[in-house]
Amino acid sequence: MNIVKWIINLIKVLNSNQAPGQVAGGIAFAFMLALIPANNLLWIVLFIFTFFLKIHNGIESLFLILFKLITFLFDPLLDSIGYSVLTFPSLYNFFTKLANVPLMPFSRFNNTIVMGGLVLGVVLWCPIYILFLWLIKLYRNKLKTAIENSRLVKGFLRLPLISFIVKLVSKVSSLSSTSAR
Amino acid sequence: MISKEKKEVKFKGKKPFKKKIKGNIFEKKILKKIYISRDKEYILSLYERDKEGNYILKKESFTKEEMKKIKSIADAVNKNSGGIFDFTKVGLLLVIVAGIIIFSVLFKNRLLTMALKSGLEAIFNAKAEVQGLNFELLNAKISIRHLEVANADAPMKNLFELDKTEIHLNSEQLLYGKFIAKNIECQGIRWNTDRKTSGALPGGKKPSDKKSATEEKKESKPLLDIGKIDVNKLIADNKTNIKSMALISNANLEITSLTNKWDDNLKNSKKRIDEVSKGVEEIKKIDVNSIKTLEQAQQALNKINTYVPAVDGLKKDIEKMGKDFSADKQKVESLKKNIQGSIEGDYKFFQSLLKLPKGGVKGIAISLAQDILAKKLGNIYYYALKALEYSNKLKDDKPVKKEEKKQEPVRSRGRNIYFPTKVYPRFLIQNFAASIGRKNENFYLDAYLRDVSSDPDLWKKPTTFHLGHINYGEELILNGKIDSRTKTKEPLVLEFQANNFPLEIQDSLGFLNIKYFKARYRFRTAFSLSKDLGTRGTAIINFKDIKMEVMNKEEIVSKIIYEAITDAPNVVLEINYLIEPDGKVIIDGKSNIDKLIAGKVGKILDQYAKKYEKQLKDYLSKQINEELKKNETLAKAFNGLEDLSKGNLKDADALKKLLEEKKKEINDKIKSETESKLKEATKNIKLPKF
Repeated sequence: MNIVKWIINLIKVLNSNQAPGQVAGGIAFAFMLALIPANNLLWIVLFIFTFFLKIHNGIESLFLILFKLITFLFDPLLDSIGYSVLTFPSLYNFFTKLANVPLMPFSRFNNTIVMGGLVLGVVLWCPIYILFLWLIKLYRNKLKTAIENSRLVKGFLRLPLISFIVKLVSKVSSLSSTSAR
Repeated sequence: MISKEKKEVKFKGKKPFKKKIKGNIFEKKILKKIYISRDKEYILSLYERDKEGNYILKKESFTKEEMKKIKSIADAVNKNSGGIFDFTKVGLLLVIVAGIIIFSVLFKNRLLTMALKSGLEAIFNAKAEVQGLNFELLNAKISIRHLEVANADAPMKNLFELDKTEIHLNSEQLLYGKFIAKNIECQGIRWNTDRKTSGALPGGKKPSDKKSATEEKKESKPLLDIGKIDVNKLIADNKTNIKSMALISNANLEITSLTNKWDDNLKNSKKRIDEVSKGVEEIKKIDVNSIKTLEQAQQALNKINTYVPAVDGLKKDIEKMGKDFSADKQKVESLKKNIQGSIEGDYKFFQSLLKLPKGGVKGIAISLAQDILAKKLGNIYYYALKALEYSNKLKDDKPVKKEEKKQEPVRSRGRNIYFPTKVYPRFLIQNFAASIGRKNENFYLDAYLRDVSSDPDLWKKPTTFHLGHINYGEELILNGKIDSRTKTKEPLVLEFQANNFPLEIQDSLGFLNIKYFKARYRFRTAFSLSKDLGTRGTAIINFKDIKMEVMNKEEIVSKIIYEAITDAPNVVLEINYLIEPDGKVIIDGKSNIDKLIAGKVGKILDQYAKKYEKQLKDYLSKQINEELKKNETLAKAFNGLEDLSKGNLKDADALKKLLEEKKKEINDKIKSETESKLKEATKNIKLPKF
């Protein structure tokens, strides 16, 4: 049932007046959090920090789960990135100071996967943000109408289970524009 | 039903939708924040532009459905406008943080002070005062500037009073499960101090008249009294320690057994010699000159040869027996030597019990210092060793690797790159300090203990401690270092000072004719313990304000001692001591008054010493003399057997010699007879002529 809820939530957000930037931001943060292993203070702090930002936290949680399913594939890459960063000679003094800052060891920043995840997450944050911003706009401006009007979708929507879901979506969402017309 | 639904409501405005909105604001802040084109068109349909470019709402009332739609679009616009931060959530967080700060600044310490005060009052049933309490949760620190609790039984007195008291832990290391105490301090502990106001609680219990005063009667061990030594009793009390008696008895048993054995062996051997001798008598009777023919000579030689194996066998046996006998004789000699050594050992043991102060004035120095050293140094050493033991116990055992449950992680664990950090041991007290009373008061005690650690190798510092104690002018200072690190050379270093302590000796310096000796002394020493847990050190003892009385001032020894000690402004003793692992203190020393009285007093003491030594020797000799005599007789008897053994060997040799001589004579006869026969034969042979 949760999966249905998430799908409903996703459809609702995509079809609502939610700013595309907020949705894209949520997805970009979800990707970053998915890359960083969760058992450390850094992850917790980042996760809490996103709650104070104007991003869609529901979308963030949904995509976090989705990305988590695939991020293990990045581990070898994260390990080598993290290792390169942590063993970079110019950064040695900085990391030594960081290691001696109270509570910092709990962030496990000295772990190659954590550091690699953080670095790759930060680097890919903008591209992912821009990508999803473009995709959302594309969907809202062009795809949405085309999908709604396609015969395949119309036939698909007539299926009993799907019509039930659509009714459910209409009930919970504020897609008033379609119902008002 | 339809008319009810279509009933219109007057529009009162819903942010950001107002009746009149400026053109640029409407376009930038409203239309741009609506992302569904149908919604955008709907909002535009509600407004119309005036000449100035402002957007004016077309109508003033809407149906409920229209109002609902406008409200939902308005909410979305509001959500989509503003910065990247959600200021509602940030504001909420700031309020919570501010609340915590305000609470900790304004109320936390007050509340804790009140809680502590009421808690103490409930426990002690008297007024309690807490001043300057400061609690820092993040810093894991609590400190109190002053605390006092009144005595419920005597309201104008305090039960106890504390000055600066602080507990400061390392909060970060607590998260790692490590106990790191940066400072534990309790200064100015006092009790029974006066109060200006009554400390009774309203409605509290009435004071009782209980008085607790217990005085322990001090027992002082009498020092050495050379005039009252009972040598006989000393030996009787330590009879079990006399080793020579048992050794002599055992030696006697062994010598007796050896004597019996060799007596039998040698007699049997003699018997065999006699038997062989009888046979050999016949050989003796052979007259070589009476032998005329070679046949007769050959017969005589054969007869001799029949006795040769018997004589050879006998000789060999007797020689072997002689060797065995010599070995046993050496055994007896060594037993005798052991007995001598054991007697010497026993004598030395009893001599040590006498503790005779040889060398005159050394005895005085040691006698005066013995009490101080035994009490002070012995105890300090005992407690220092205990501290060393506890310090070693505190050390972490080698970490045992826990077997982690093997779980196949979906994600890689990565690698940890380690940077140099300050690593703390599992347990550490950087500073523990306490003081009782105040400086310049009659009673004051201060102590500290620093760097107590479960892993001194990691912490790289030894444990240091200090104890200072003043009690009505008597001062005691102890400074020390306990080093439990693996590569340490000095596990224990101690400095000890006792100033202005009284010493009173009565009836125990009788051998010096001193009736009593009173003085104040200053004692200083420093020593370090080596890894074999034994230590040597030097102590200096200064005596001042000496008061003494001798038994008879006219007597020469008393006079010398009295004048030497009372004339010297300070008597200084230098004591060399050895502390054995069991805490026993062995001392030797000299003093600055040695030269004055050394010769004269020394002679008298030496006389005493010699007298007792002779007495001891005589008594011991008497005790073991009887056994020793028996031992000597047995040893003599055993040695007597040696002559018998030698005689046997001689007899065997004589027999052998006799046989050989006879054999030679006969052989010579045969040779000469053969030669004469050969000559005769050659004469009769005619050789052919060529």
